[in-house]
Amino acid sequence: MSRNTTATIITVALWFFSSTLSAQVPQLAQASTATGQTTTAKFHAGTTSNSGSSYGTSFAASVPISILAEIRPESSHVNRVGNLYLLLVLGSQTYMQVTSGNFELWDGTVAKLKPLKAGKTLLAIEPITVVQNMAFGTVGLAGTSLAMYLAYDTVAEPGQLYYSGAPMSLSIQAAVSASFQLFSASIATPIIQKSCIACHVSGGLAAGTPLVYVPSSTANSLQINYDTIINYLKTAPNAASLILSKPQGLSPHLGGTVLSSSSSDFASWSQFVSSSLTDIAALGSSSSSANIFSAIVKTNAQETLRKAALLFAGRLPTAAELATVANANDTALALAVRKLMTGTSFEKFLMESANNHLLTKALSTNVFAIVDQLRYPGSLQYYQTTNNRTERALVSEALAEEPLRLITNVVTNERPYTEVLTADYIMLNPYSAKVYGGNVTFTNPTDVNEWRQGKITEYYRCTICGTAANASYSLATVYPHAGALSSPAFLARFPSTSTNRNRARARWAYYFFLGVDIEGLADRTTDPAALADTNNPTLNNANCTGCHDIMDPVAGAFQNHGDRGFYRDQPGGLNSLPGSYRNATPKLFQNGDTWYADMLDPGFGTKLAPNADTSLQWLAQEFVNDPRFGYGTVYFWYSSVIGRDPYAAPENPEDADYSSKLAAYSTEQAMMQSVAQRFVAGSAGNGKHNLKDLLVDLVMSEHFRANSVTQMTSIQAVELEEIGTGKLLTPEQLNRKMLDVTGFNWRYGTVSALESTYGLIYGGIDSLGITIRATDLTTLMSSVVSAMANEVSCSMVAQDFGRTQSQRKLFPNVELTTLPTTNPTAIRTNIQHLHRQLLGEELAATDAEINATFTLFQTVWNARIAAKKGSTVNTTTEVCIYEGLVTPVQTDANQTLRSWAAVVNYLIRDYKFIHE
Amino acid sequence: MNRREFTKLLSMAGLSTVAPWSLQSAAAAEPYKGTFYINLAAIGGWDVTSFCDPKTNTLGQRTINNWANTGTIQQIGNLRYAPVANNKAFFERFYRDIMVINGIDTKTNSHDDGVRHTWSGRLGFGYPSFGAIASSTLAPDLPLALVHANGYSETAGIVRFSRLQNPDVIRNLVNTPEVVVGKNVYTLYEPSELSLINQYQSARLDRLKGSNKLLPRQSENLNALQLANASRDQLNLFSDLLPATFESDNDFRATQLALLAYQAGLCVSCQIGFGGFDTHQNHDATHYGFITKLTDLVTYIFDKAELGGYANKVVITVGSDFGRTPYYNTGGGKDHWPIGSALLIQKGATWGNRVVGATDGVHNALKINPTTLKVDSSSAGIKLEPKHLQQAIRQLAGVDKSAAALEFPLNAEAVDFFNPAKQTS
Repeated sequence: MSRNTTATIITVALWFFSSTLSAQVPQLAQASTATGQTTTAKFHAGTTSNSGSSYGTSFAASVPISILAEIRPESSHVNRVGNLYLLLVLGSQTYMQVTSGNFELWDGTVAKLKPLKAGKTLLAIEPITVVQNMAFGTVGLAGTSLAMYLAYDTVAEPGQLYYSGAPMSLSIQAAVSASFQLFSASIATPIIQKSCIACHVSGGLAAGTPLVYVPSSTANSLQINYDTIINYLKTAPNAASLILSKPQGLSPHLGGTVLSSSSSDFASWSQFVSSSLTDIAALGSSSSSANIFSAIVKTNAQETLRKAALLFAGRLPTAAELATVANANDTALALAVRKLMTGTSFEKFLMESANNHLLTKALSTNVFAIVDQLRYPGSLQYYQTTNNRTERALVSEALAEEPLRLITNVVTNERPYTEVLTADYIMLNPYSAKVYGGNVTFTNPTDVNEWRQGKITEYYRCTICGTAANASYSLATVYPHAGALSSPAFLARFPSTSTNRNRARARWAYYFFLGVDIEGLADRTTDPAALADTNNPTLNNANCTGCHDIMDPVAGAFQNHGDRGFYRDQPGGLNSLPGSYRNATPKLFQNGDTWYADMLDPGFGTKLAPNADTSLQWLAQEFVNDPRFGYGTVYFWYSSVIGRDPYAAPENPEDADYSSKLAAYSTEQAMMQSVAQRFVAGSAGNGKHNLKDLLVDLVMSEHFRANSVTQMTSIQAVELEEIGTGKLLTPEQLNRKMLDVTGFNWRYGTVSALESTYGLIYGGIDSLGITIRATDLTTLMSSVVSAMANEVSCSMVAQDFGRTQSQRKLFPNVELTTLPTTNPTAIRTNIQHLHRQLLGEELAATDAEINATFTLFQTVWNARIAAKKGSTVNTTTEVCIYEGLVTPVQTDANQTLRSWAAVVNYLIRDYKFIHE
Repeated sequence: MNRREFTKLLSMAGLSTVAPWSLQSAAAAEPYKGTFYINLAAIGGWDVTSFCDPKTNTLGQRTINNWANTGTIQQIGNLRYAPVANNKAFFERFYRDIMVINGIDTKTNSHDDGVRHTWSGRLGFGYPSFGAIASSTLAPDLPLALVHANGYSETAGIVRFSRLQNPDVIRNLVNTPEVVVGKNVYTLYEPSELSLINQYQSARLDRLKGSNKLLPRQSENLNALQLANASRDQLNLFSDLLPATFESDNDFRATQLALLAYQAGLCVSCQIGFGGFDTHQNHDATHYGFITKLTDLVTYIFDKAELGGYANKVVITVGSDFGRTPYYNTGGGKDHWPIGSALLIQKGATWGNRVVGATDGVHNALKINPTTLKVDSSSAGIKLEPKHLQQAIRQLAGVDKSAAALEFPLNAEAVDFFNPAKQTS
């Protein structure tokens, strides 16, 4: 190896330690010098999987191996000062290991060569343990080869370099993954060779796609075709979805349906895809096991139950509930979590979560954002009137909430979630019933929370439409309910136009209920010629039909709903086709038409809607029977539990963190698919499509329960970036938590401070212009926390001490006469309770945090005593707001109330109070 | 194995937790006195053929613009504009301060993709806005470093954005230890006790952050809380500037608040904008009104900035998802067109009164030479894309070599945008 040679030394990153070497490490041949003179120096290196009993050059990817080396300098160099060098070659790259232990790229020049060990007194034998007990397959080196060179120099021979002329060679065999085994057994021949390759072959119809296979007669065809699919899954947008949907004909596929969704071949195919995703995730992981969660510690059962209770029930778990999971396994924990899904707070969770997507609350302040006074004569009483504002507001809210109430009704009654789309009813309360009719009898006609199933019975189509004197809205309607799809609020929130033609509704229906983002299926063409095409390009131009073939039939299924969502809203009440189309020339419209003649017929996939009158109800059935419905449901509810949207697939393989993000994405997709399968199958034993079970599965996942790490590399930091506990609570969640754990309701009059006054500032949405929740705390948001702590802490404490001790939420262990000088133990005990109650921390009495809080209490108390503070709690310089409180304590002779207020102030502005 | 994978393995040798951004210090940052970068989005896809890249009709071809049947393209200085909306007044006032960039190929007709491409410079997911890069580089610790009202909000975790909605609520929030009853102001806590509470909270945050068992999410959120606490008092500077009344229009009010945040020394960049430009039907009747509002908003910004004495410190980038078709559809609307434009506006800019980039008569993008800026159909010519726009803004702001910019490279050819001696037309 000359000084000027850019040696092709293969390098791999490895752990290394100094340790005693094993005996009989093989000697490397051709020990050489930079000047070419002969040398008696010896270099030894070898790879062993049995602690040095034997050495080899080729190992399976899953076998832990150790690489051991020795440098034996010439005898005249022993006890002289020198440097040791280690070089690794991988592919065309050469890496030198430097004193820090890191590896750096080497340019092949001796001048730039850096030592592994510098300036050391050379021993007769210099041992080096390069790696110990590592399976190279776990670090992505399966199927690779590397070579290692050793070298040294010494002050005894300035300018000379002694090195191993021949390297140690090591070959890591390709790993046989689970997915490859599946591929070999169930996919390669019966599916790829039998069906796919008819088109997906060089020169075939699908030769221009990313999936081009080779016939079985080609050498190594198994590996080639397997790698083709894996590469596709790793690099193509929406690959996991498309590779499942296209063979079923559910996405544009020139080959049509080649795998029936009910066939055993499709089951094998689906299993193979899932296994591939898991293996892809493992390839990206840097952990020693094939799991990005190997480094994490999950919340224990009680911790999980606490978080689930705050999420679903808006409260802490009771002592009895905690006791049931004290030593519980996952089955018992899942059951306990499930039992939390009841009550008003669970309904609020469902409605908020659903509204995060459906956004119908944007319309909650205007009755006529959803209905009009002509078609819904029941609303006329609210049209341009001022004498019934309160009732009008309640009606507005009810109309907007209706689809959210549908979801709540289905879930809380544990009906199959499919009913969200197939429901042949609408949810009504006494106020929306004033507009919709419904033939419903309410127990309490003024109770906004009494919701019952009914139908729209007071909708009228027009024979002559408009506001002219001869307008007539008298055509009674049997409203064809199709769950959320036909919800007036949903249709109004996602309006259409004469050119959009329900495509937006189709897009959102696909997204919300099947988890399919139509915009992500294919790149929109920007080819000027295609864009200038006037020959109905969405029907005829291949640049457009890739998406429109999927979208337009579903748009057609919405054919009976006009731009604002009104049913058959055109004159005569027979269709919703705009006049600009019906009266256009050339005339495409014919009497009896309900859909555009220049668009694909209403339908779904390859099916046509059989009946124009019921196309939306038919679509609902098709959706719920679609294999993607389960995944779509998981996708819809995911963010509400995990605290963020599912990852998007990483797109650019050149990004530095691509592999890590791919691992995170693939792991998450595998989990979501698994949850979806269980949801559809009813694996929990509570019936198919039971959403409660889906929510339980998400809570039980590592994505929810990850709570800490044992150790973590920077790669794992990327893989675990947005996983686990520590989510910022939404304004609504924080409000419910505070109300339950402290018993205090932070309001300005009747208005909730967190949910209303500061809701938008604290990251909430208005469902109209602001539709994405802020999940990262900003300075302005922290001002809300500070305001909360300052305003409520004294009131909270005064209220709690006004209760009997057994009824208190915050101070069950002390009275206002309990002083730090006479009974510090009781104070510490209560501080422990506060940390447990407010922050979820179970701490010993002498824990550093308890000590800190106690010191705060004591410091404040001492200062107040020294300042001879008066006994009145509420003064002009220390206001304590009593508005809305019941029997608050108003005197503080011992200065303990204000001291506890400072403690509560400190705790409710804490990280662990506003995050879960 | 390629170098990227090897580098990944290299890092296995170390055990480290890398936060996406780290707290440099828990002390309040100095008020920002640099340039204010405003990103103004015409959301929905704007019709630049009726604005800064005007097109008339060609006999025998589809009508591009109805106004061209009776009107002609106007010009002032080197800038041409369409004779509709309030374009005349706008360009007459600001032409010296404007660089028009035409022929930007957004490579998409999807709103989401177009917004992302235009405002981040990359079509794919994951890149932050220029505002995020600028604020994270120039003053990341300011409490309102990045203000977001509308448009592209991705920050890739390098900075957090703030929303400024109800200013009266903000005014109340800033003075959190006080309550106002009538004309009287009362305090909730003794200042010494509040100070003690803040000290204890800060110490606790330090203890929590000191754990070596934190998940990335926990570490990031602990940092966020610590930074937020450290900078909260600075919000008083913003609150002190809040006037008694505010603009009635939501978009103007959002702009007003962003300007006040800058004046308070707390804001580096803002993302504002409004929708309505997606005129798939009745284009002429509706679109020009939104162009008028757009130019009115720019005028408002500079009116306020001149009153405040900082007009020469404002840089506005005006852009959109993409353009609109150079023809009408059957509904009298214009559909999506991937070619659009952008405006960079700075009072007194040496690079103003210039046009870079070009399109042909039917609004197809033309290649330009990145050095001469002249139309160049040879292999030396390039078509402008959002990455070039974003690279230009980064250079203008002096953040193109920042860590944030280098973490999100644009790989754009160097275009001599700011050479006053060169332009395309």
